[in-house]
Amino acid sequence: MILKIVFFGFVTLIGISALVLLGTRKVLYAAFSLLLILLGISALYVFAGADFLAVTQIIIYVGGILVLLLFGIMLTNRPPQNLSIRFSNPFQQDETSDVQPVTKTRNNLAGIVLGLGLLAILVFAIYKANLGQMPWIKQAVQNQQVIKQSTVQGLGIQLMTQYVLVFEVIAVLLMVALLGAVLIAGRTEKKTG
Amino acid sequence: MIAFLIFLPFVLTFALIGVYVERKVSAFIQDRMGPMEVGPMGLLQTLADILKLIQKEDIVPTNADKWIFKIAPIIIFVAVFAGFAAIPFAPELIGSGAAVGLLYVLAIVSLDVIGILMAGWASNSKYPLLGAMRSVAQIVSYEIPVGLVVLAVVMITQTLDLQDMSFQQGIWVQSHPAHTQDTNYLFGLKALGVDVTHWGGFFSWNIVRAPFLIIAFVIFFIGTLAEANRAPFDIPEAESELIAGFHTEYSGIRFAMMMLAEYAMMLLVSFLAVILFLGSWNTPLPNIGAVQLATWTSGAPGTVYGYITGAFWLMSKTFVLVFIQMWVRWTYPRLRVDQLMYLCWKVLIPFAIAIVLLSGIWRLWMV
Repeated sequence: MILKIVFFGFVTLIGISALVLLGTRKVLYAAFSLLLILLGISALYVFAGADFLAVTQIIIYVGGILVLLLFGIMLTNRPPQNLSIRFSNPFQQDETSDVQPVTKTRNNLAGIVLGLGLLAILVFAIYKANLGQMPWIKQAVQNQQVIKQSTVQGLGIQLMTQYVLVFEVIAVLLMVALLGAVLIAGRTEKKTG
Repeated sequence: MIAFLIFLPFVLTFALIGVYVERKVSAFIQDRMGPMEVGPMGLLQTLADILKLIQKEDIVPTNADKWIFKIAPIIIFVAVFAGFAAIPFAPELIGSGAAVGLLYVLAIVSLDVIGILMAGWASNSKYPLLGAMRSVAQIVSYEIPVGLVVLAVVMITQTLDLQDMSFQQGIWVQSHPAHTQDTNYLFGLKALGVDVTHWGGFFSWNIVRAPFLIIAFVIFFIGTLAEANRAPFDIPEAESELIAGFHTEYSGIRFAMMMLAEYAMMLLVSFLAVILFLGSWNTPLPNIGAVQLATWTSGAPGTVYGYITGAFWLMSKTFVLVFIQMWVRWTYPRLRVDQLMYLCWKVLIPFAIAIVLLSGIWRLWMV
């Protein structure tokens, strides 16, 4: 019962944060609601018994990608439009003193229609697939031991045996991307004159 | 729940005493007296300070982003405090027995970075923003050597579970369900044929089981010092350049929370260093023939004596590390930004990678 309340608590958190993410025009607020969404999803992974995936989600998305995103937004901080704001009365509440980068909303109608359409298709597909009746899920439900086990060992062995080629290819790809980034960033412009 | 009830008062008290000890240590190093006025030897000074901070007005700058400004200190503290959930306090006394405990601590602590960015940005002022930028750049880069040396330890111990790791480093290794058949050899080498399972003490600590982990320990210590924004890696809050870095605009209780988070972080990384390298809650004294020092000084897991000795050894080792952190802070000058990056990328990371490779080879010799 408590588990159910916690589960739906996280679902509501994700839902509300997603709505904020879509609704807000301030990029930074969007980034922070993305933080809540990512944390909520990793909590849902824990409910699904995927402990390693949940922690990896936090390390990669929150610790890595989101920080990079925030860094980008903060470096593009928009300066005040007119100089008078900088010298205005500090005790005066001023809307224009807001220096957050703000985005415009475009294609509202098309976006809503597209999103709802996708949702309808997904709901229909999931309903049709009837996941609860799938044999492997039924088996897992009966065998509680599978659910309680940690996934770390299984993942490690699979990665080092069956999927070792894919694993290595991804490693090389990431290495190439890293070297490429260093090459682009480290290129010094030739001095003119 | 147990971990919450134990660690919340523990961390709060630690921060109070920690600030006092830090001031006394710095005073001793600089040949001063330190706080002397409030209470005997100034013992009540930090208590007076925290009472003052709680009473102070909670100032939010006019141009600050109010919501983010107010939430940021809470996020920073919660992120650090959540890390304590996976710390084993004594045998069989742990908040979360998750099999991915170590990874969880590393992940949840990286949330700290988000809090610092929020604080720096929401203050809408140049010093906090610069401080936050520096802080994040520093924490993100130093996570790499720390992650690599932690990986080396994981390769040696073959687990991500901190409690499992603790059991492996002492005389009670065979009472853990996963290790009933395990034996510890001297320096981890089976070829030497010296069975130290019943010697216990420091012979079964990770830095002795795989001696090159001493270098890993030093790298871990330096890296976590940088992650906790402590001197000599305190360029994010360099007083002479940035006033106080990312928490310049904070006052009152929110400033107190930032300080609390800093001390909690020191404590957390020291706990982690002790668990990973220095034998966790195991005694440092070995059994020598009839003089069963290890058996006398560490009770069996699950007994009251086991809890007391476990907590005692874990905490005393942790406090020694915290003391070293303070000692380093008042001894070494602050690094420049380029020196900081040089140390991380050109010194620590190559060494860390070499250690990961070596630990893979060592593990083959251990079984």
